[in-house]
Amino acid sequence: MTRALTRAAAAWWPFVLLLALWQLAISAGHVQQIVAPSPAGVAAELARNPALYAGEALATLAVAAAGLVLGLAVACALAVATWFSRFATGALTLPALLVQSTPLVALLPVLARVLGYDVRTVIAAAALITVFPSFVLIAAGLRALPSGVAALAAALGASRRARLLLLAVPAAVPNALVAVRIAAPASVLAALIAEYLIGTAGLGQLFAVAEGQLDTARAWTAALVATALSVAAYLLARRAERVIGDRFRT
Amino acid sequence: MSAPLRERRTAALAGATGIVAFVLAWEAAGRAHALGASWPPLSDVVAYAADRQHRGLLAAALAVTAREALIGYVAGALAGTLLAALALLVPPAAPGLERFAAVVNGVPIIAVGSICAVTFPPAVNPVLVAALGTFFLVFVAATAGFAAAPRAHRELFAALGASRATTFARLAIPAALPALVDGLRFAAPVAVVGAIIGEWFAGDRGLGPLLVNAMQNYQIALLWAAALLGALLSALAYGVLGVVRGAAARRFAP
Amino acid sequence: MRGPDGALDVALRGVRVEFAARGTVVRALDGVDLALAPCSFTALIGPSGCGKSTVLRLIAGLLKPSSGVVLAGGDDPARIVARHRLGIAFQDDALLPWLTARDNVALAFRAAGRAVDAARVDALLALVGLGAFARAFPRELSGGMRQRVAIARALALEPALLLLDEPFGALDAVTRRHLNLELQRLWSERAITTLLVTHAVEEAVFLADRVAVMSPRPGRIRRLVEVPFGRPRSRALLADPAFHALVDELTDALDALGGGEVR
Repeated sequence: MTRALTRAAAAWWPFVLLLALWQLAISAGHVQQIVAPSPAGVAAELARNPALYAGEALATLAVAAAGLVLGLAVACALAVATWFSRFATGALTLPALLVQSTPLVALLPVLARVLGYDVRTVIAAAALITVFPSFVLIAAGLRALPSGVAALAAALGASRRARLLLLAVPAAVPNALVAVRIAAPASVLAALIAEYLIGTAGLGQLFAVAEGQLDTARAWTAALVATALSVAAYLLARRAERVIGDRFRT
Repeated sequence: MSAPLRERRTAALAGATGIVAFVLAWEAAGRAHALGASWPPLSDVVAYAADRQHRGLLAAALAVTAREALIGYVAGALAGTLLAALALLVPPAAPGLERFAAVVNGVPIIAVGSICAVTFPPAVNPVLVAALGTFFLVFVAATAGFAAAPRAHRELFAALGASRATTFARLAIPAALPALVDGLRFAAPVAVVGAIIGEWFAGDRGLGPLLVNAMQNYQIALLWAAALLGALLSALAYGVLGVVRGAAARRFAP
Repeated sequence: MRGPDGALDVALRGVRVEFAARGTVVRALDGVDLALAPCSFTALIGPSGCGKSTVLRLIAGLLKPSSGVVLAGGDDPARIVARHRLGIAFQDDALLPWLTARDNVALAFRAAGRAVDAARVDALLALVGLGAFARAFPRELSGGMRQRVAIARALALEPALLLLDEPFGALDAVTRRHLNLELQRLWSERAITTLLVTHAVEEAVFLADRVAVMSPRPGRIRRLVEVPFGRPRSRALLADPAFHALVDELTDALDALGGGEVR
């Protein structure tokens, strides 16, 4: 029993410390509810409106997932294109670099104007934040054959298509899973920023509205729920990586 | 011409052709309004940015954002490295700290920007948000780096009877440098994003408010010009650190 | 007990080492008794996985026995390590890639918190034939040269105890023979209590005063054979029929213990 407690303490001490400091800052500093809520305030807000937060969280999750899947699909297509064609590699370098370098917060206003103030922009934002890192990882994975396998395939006279499907694609799976792990929390984050900026349904919009109304309890609670969502997405992706990746790892 | 040289020539040629094709396509699509009124030809954007009337505004905004990002980056990188060193030197603290950093990173950056603007003076918000974003990436990279020394090297130091401090200074730090510099490289664009988001909640200086205002006022050319400047800033930071990374990898990687 | 010039003796008595792995207990060593006299050179041979390296790690204080006693100079090996009297070289040369050959040898001083004796570092590098490569980085050196640097480093602090864990294992036969001769020459000039763990029976017989033969896992010392040849040993010994007879005898002993089995 004490063993489990000490282990838990070792794992969670910074959170407990932070919680205590938070409560202390509110009480000792006599901070007004309008500036920042107390931990109890946040808990009460969540308990009062569980359906609201669940609904908005689901909305955000749905668009983030849609963007993630779209981004991965595009990344795979691009990776395969560069595997086949050097021209494709050249043609993609500059746009890829541009998209990668442009901070999401600079890209979003542009996207909003081009695609409109609706859910398409949010999905596009999530997809764009996924595409480049995934493309880099998957393209590298396609080439990451164990030494000697490439030479073997050439000696066996395997066609390019055969080499892609039988060797390169399985070799790329571990990297693809790493890409998902990195992109999962990022796509949630992108969706939230997009929702905040354009006001489509989701936790980001909930946060924006609450912020506008100076309803700090609601704003903070939305932020915390969004954090939990992001962390959950990451953990899920990591678990999937471990389970599926072990089979394909060289 | 030898085969490898020919390969490189073909690759470079293909690359150059691709880039030209991309630029031409953008220009054509923009002129034809193929992607809507909000996607201008590249030449329009460049002309706008070069115009004397607009240059000053864009340059000032860029300078503000760049400075905030830099200060935040340095602060966050230092904090991340120190905390990772702490986790190394006080092993029981490590799991808690790592979990904490992961969750802190999961807090949506807009929430961070908004809440910090209320809790701390708004003027420091961009620096603060940039620092927080940088902190996490550098912390993760430094933690991985400090654990990167191969077992044989660690056993060597143990058998030589080296103290913990000596082992840390002469083994852990040099062995950590490649991973650490990698983390520093990826953190640079994050600092730029953090600065921009921080600016959203802090006032009207910098690229952040400029972008939002241009979006809301349908100033398309200004919007694209500001976005491209943001991209350039980010790419420059990433590129400079890429050079540093190359040097570090050459010297310190096994 | 110490011999001349502070060389140490080593004693293992009834040493047992067990690891927990995947729910079962793996016994790496099962009642090992071994004594190394001061200034003696002992070679430890045995089949793969028998625990030879485990014995070496016990003496280096990198591992604690599950039961039994490990003593170096009548003391806990950790004390020897703390006084920086241990010289060690691994099969992986463990040279730090960001330090030159000279700085790698000097590391022994820095790790001990002492001022670097530059003259000694240079002398050691010259001794192992690498005087001209003092400023080279490990990636610029061949495997054999890197191992020589590792040995120079092991000797830097004039250790009372020298542990060599298959230091030439990763090298080709020709380089290996050459380094055997070098090591023999080095050792003849400054006898240190030495334990050499190796796969190569010929190497063991050429270098050692005694050869200990270990059984497959769980390891125990099954035979201790005295090597009767005088020192210093030279290349000529390699042609001596008596030498080969002893090598064959030990190889047969290894085979009999199941050394040829594939595990």
